[in-house]
Amino acid sequence: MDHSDNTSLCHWLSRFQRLEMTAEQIADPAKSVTVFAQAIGEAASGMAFDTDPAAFGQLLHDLAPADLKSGDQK
Amino acid sequence: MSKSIPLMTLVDVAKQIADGHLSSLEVTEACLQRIEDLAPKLKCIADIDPDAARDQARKADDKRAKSGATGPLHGVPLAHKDMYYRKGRISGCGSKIRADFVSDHTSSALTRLDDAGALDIARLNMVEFALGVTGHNDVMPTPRNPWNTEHFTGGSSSGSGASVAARLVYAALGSDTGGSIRLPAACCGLVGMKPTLGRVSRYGAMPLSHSLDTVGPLTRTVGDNALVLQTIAGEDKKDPTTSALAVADYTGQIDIGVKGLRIGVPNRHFYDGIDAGVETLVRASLDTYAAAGAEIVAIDIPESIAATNIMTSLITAVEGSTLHYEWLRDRYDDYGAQTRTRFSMGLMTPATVYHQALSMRAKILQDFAKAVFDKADILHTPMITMPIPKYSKSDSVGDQAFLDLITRFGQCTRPINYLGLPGLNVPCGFTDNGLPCSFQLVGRPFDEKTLYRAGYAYERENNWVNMVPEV
Repeated sequence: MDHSDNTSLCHWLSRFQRLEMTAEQIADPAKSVTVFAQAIGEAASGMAFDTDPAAFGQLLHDLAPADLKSGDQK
Repeated sequence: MSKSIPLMTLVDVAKQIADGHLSSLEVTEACLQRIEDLAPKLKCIADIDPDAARDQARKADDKRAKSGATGPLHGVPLAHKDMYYRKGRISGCGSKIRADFVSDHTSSALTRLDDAGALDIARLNMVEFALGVTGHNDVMPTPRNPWNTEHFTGGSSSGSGASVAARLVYAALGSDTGGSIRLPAACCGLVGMKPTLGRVSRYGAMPLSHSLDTVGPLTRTVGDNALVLQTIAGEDKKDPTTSALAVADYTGQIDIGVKGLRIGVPNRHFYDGIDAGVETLVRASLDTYAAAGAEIVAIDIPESIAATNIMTSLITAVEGSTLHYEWLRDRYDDYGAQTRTRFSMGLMTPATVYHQALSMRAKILQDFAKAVFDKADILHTPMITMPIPKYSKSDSVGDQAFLDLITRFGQCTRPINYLGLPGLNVPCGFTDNGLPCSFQLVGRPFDEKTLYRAGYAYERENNWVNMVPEV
C-alpha cells in the first residue's frame, strides 16, 4: 500500500506534536494510539494524577481577583 | 478634515460623536472612502454594503438627536471577523464550505456592541475556519499587512488586523484559540486582547475548539481595547460557559500607572530561539516599566510549560475535527490543504489521549500560577520571537522550513490558551524589516484590568500608536 500521501502529515506531526510517526504508522490507527499515548504520557511525567477537566474551570475562578468574586455582575 | 477622521482613536471619535462635534454619517463616509481607497490592495474586506452602512449611521444620528447617545460606542463604525453570526446575513468563516451560510441568530458579542450603539459595516476576511497563524488562506483571499503587503498579517483574525491597522474601522472583533487575536495584532502593530476563557460569550461565534476559543478585540490603543472589552464582557445566559464573576471597570483607573506593580520575566520557553533585534525591543520595554516604577522580578517557569504546545495543538485538532467531521467526509476537497491536514490529525487522536490532555490542564495551571503570581502581578513575555516573515514562506504544508517557522510563531501564544489566562499584545517598536514588534502581558484569571493598566502605562511613554502605515 502506498502511504506517500501521508508524508506531509508526518512532517506536521513531527513539528507540532513532537510525534515521530512514519507514513505507515499514520495509516494504521492501532499504531497511532501507541505513539500519541506515549507522547502525552511523557508530557505528564511527574505530575500527580489529576481530577476531571471540570477542575480547570473551577481553578480559573479560584485564582481570580477577590473583588470580582464578591461583586455583582454589571 | 475627512481624511483625518479615520486616524482618530475609537475613544476620541466616540466622544466627538456623542458631543455632537462629528456626526456618525461624517465618520462613516470618511471610513468608507478609506475602505474604497485601500481595501482592494489589502484584501481584508469579505463584504461591505456602503449604502447599508450609511443607513446605520443616519439612524444613529437621528437617535442621538432625539434622545442622546445610546452607549459608549454610539455611531462608531466597526467591522468584524467573518465568523460572528448576524441574523439573516452571511457568515462565510473564511471558507468555501460556508460561503453561503446565513445564520438565524445574532452573536451575543455583536448584540452587545449593537446595544452600545456601534455600527457594523463590513465582514472581514480571515483564515479558513480560524485555523492558522500566518494569515494565509488557501481558498479565500489572504489579507495583506498594511505595513508591508508582502509580510504576514498574522492569523487567524487576519482581516481584523489589516483593517484596524490601516484605519479602515476603529476596532474589530477577532477570536483566539492559539493566538489568533494576539498574532495579527502583533504583526499589524495593534493592541489585541485574548480575554480569560469564559469572560466573553461565544454564543453565535463560529466554534473551533470549545475548550480554548475566546472572543476579544483588536484596536489601535489600549484605551480603545478596554472600552470594547468592557462592552462585550460578562455572563451570558445563552452561553453557559461564561463566568458569573463580576466584570471589573477596565477604563476607570487605566491611567494610574505601574508604580509598585510587580512584572515577572520568564526564565524558560518564551525567549527560546528569539531573534536578537526582537529581544532588544522587548527587553527595552522592561526598562520603560522599571523607569515608571514597576518592580521587575525573575520568574522560574515550570518545565511543564513545554507540554502546553502539544496539548493546545492536540485539543484544537480533536475538537475541530469533531465539529468538521461530516464536511471532512463529504467535502474534503473544498478545504484548503493546511486546514484539512490539521483536522486530519485530530481524527487520528484517541479519545483517551484527548481526555488526558484536558485533565492535565488544572495541574499545569496550578503550577504556573503559583510560580508566576506568587511573585508577580503580571508576566511579561515576547509575543513573536522573530521579525514578521513574508507570505512567500507560508504557502506550503509539509515543507520543513515552513513548519519550523510556524512552530516558533505561536510559541508564546499557545501556552496562554491552554492555561485559559488573559493575554494582551502591546506594540513596542519596529524591527529592521520595518514590521511591528510587540510584547505580551499575561495576567491571573479574569484580571484583564491589570493588563490594561500596564499596557496603558507603556503606551503613553512612547509614540508607537500614532504611527500610521503608508499603504
